[in-house]
Amino acid sequence: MNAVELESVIHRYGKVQALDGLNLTVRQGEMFGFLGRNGAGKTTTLKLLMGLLRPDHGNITVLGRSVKRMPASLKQRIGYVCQEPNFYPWMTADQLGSFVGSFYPTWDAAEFQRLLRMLDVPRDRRASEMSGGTRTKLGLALALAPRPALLLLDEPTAGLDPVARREFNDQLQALQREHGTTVMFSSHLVGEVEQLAQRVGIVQGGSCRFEGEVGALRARVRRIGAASAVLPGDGFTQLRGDIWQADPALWEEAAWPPGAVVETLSLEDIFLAFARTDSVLA
Amino acid sequence: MRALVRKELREHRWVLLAMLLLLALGQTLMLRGAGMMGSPMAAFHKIVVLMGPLMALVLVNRLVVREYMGRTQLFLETLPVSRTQVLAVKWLLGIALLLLALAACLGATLLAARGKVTLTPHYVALVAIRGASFVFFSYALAFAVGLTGRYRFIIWSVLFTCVATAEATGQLAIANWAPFYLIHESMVYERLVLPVQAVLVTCGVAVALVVATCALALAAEGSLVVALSRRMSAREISAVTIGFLVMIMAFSVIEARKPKPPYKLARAVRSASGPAVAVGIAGPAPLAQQLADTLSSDLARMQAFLGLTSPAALTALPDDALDGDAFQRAALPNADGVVVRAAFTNDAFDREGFRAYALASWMQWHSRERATEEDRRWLLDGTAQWLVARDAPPRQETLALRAAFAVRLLQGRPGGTDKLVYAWNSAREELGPCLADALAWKMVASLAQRIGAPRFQALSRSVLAVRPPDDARASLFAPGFDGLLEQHGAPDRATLTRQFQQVFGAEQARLAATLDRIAIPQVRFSARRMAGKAYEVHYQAGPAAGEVPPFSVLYATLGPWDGELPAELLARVDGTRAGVLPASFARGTRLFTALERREAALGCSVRLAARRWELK
Repeated sequence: MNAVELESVIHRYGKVQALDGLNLTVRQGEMFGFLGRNGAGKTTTLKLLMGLLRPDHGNITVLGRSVKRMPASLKQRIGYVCQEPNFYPWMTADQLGSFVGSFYPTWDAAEFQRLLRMLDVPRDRRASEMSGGTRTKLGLALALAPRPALLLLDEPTAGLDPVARREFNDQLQALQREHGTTVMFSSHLVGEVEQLAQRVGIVQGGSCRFEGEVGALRARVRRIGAASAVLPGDGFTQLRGDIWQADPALWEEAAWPPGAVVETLSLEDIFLAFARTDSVLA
Repeated sequence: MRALVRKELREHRWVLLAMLLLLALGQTLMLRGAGMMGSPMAAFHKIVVLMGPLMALVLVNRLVVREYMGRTQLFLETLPVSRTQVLAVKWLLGIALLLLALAACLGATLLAARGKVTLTPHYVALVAIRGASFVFFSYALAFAVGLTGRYRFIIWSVLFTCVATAEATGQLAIANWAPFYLIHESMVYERLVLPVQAVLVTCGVAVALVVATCALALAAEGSLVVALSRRMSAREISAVTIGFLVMIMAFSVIEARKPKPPYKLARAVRSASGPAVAVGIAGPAPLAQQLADTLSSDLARMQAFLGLTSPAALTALPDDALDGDAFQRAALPNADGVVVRAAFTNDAFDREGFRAYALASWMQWHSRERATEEDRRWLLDGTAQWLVARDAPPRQETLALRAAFAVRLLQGRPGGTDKLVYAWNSAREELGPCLADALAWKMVASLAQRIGAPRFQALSRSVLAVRPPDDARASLFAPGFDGLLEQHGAPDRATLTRQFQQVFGAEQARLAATLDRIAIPQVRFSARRMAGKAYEVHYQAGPAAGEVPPFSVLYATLGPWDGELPAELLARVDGTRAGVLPASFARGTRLFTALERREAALGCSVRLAARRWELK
């Protein structure tokens, strides 16, 4: 069973089409990176998965259940960390733990305390007195303490400095390994996704342009640099300029003229190519 | 759900505590002052009226507005609790707190009223149902408006403006609308009948507001309320401010005012010719006819002097309850026109004074009360007297003597005659109508003589003969009195003060012998504390013991913003010796007190020792 399935999901904010037939699958136990530019539809997708929004069209299944009417029992199995957590400013970390914990039958108070210590979140400091990074870590602790089956993170490191970001990501990886939780996190930071995710989804203009393993993506897309113009044969599709995509086997079998340089690309280069084109990888 | 309730109570505990303390303080004060209100149960009425809406606003502000404006509801939404549950918890918690507070107040009031008021279960239920229905309505309205986020102040302003406009134009009696009818002052005095219809309408409106609240809070996955709760941008603030000002202007300017029908007196004699004057018949009809013709002739002369073409009808009603030199203008809520009252058949009826009063009343009506503004009121009072007395030397001599006596009284008081053209209303209040009218006549006659008849006529026309529009334009575009004085070549007010004082000085010298014969008794008002915290006010005119010439004590309690006190609001006690006012007053009450005595040499009542003071 997949942890998350979206089928032809459409969502509009008034006249603005946020999602335009999005299809996506997140497998159980994996860490899934959701990549896209600002406004691509990442936050909308995660809000739909949390039941905070309702799709105009399409089916969404989370942990095997439809989210058309998100029941509390399903929500209790999902952890959610948003970009800027709006905690009650007067509550301390402990008070927030006590408040949030009362909504989850599976809440593990000891685990919450352990997470606070591990993430270096002061227990008795009010949320209003915490830095953005500490608040995000607190959000992660609150999301993980009920031991959710699915953890949704919406650009959790967006407001963090590079050191805090690295620290957060390391801890996230450790926790995911430890808990075996399915993690779906969105980001527009390609390096971060490359470091953390086993599989990625690239969303652009409200629809998914690629979904799969990072290695498979890098095997499909390459740059052909040549002194003279080289035109690959059938099965190759130009993404942008000198960047082409094709089945990995075709790249190996192709006979390249002398002088032609075929190079693999970083995920960032591939993402940039997708971000500026309408192509879709099958 | 319990976690949500605990969270709310913990978050707002200090505010709730402060509110409960305020409520307890208010309840205590109200109960202590309940004796003055007629019944201890009146304290509960005051609490419901004052604290009910206030507490509803505070609770909604804390429970709803703070949550949405702080965007913490976004955090709540990520938890396994539905929007409906959150809304229900907030709504029910607020109304429960409000009703509990109300119940506590009712309980405290019942304890205090035990033994003083007959308390039956039926009566207590009546009071409780009326109070609870009103509080339910207040809370439902506050909650619905609170959800409109940044527009809530605008909505409140619009609501208040609409209510005030409806009330002011007299087309709608808001006080009779069901929710307000329930908290009418009679609320705690009605012992038998429950106003079922008012209760049903109030609760119906409240339920409709609850439905609107749910629709607003849950529509579009709550995104509507979230959008409304964003703070206003600078552009939006500017647009709203300008829009609001324009709306008020538009309300004021283009409001279609329903013209009131003219006042008609069925049984009256009417002037034979000239402007229409009706006089109610009291005593012999020929005398009434004579008065009607005289008043009509006065109106015609005033019409010619002020350049008016169609003066409205004037009606004079007999009122034997008044003194001969006391006149009143009737308020006409449902009719238009000028109606004045006097004791025509009283032997001491001051006919000339009444004629001038009728003219002044007519000019007040014509200028839509603008001529009564403090900077120009002396001109109005004086011109009316001047028009009546200008061809009557005996009347002029009487007025001159009264004016000189008025100046003598003022000379011993703070401000003296310096304040006359600046603070005429307070001088008028100190002197009483008879002396003030005479003094105004002296000032006007002096001004007319100094600047010449044509200029004085032009000045009078620009001040008294203009009928301004019945809306905000009257205040915005009407020229100031100083500008009008300058425009017509009259001295400014500082110069006028000096010139008047020269005239007053000459008159004091001329009439010194007559004035010296008029005794001015020592008048004294004093407050003495009774048992408890109430005070009684003692008065004395002349010696403490023994009889003195008849006098009247006038008094009234003052509100914080009370300006001019109409004669009909003054309570009166007649006496011939020192005494005590027939009322007790709470500490801190502001009072107006004065003593009036008829002075034969002046031919009218003279007001002495008038002042506003506070009981300490």
